Amino acid sequence: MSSSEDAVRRFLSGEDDAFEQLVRLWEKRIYNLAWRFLGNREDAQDAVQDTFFAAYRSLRTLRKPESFPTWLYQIALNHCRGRWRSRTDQVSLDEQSVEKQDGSEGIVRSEGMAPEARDQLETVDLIRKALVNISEEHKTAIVLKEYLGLSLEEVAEVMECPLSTAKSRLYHGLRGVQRNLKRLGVKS
Amino acid sequence: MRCDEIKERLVDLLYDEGRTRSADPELKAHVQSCPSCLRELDELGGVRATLSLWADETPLRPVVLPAPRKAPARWAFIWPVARRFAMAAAVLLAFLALTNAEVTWEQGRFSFRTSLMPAAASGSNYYTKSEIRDLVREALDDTESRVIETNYLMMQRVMDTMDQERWSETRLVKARGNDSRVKN
Repeated sequence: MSSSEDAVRRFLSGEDDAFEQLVRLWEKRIYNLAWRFLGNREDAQDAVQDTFFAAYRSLRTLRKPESFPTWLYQIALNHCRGRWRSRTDQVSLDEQSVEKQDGSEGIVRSEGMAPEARDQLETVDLIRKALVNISEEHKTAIVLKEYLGLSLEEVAEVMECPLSTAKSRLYHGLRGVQRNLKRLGVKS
Repeated sequence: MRCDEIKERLVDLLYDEGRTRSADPELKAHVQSCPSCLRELDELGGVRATLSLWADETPLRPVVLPAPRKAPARWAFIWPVARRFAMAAAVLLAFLALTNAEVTWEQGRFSFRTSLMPAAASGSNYYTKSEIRDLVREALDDTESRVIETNYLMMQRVMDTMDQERWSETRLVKARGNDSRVKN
């Protein structure tokens, strides 16, 4: 039994403290999911907070503790989609390059860094723009597969779609990122 | 196997997941023999490699834990039960009222009866047609006799009054006669 499953079972049996263990186990993964989906750290942090509040409220309705990861990913993705749609300042492919941004939007301030590190940061910032500017479904598939390391079947389960649909979304997502990277001048 | 038919299935080869990878040797054979599909597979692999440059980060802040739920009071479970019981009782009473339910205890037995129309009262509280006719007749007779009696009393009173007046006048005439005789 995984430590998450054990913590869920303890929470369901009335141990409220077990929820803190779940948060500490999952907050980094959920943050990185939101960060890749939204492309904005503050929004990602807020989405993580909302996700865990929602999870706390409805965890008692979870019937299978072993399905907690899928369930939590779905909650997080719902919050990310909500935030993404309500954002007025969508990340644009034509956005300023990273060295001209403050630390809140781009990757980090790159002043005073070694050229190699700076190049890598710039590349990562371009990847961020390329990824967040594809459709929500394609982006979801890529984040789940590439960054959270889920299997194709798990991706389909989280996205509540057939396996063939999940593969299709992944394929078109990768092609979309490839197109955006080309537009941004990044060789992949 | 046509190239445009297998584009989306390149994902099977792109991700090394044993089950799907070995599931379709035909697909593998096609890609290895088709320069276009092989190039596309390489490109997709390149996109994956580029995406992997975006490493995980540590959250800006730790998640704020929700306030622990309050432990329910010892007898708190009573209220939902009582509320449901009251609602059930109200529904039952409404049902009994709407169906004109009658519960009686007669000769050591309960009887329960419902009807959409109110239950008919026992026969003794109602009059038959002939009874009503007799009653009306009695009432009319009674009224007529009262009228006759009243008329009789009125006539009697009138006659008494006339007798009294006649008697008074007679006394007056006699008195006047006596007076004139005395004067003569």
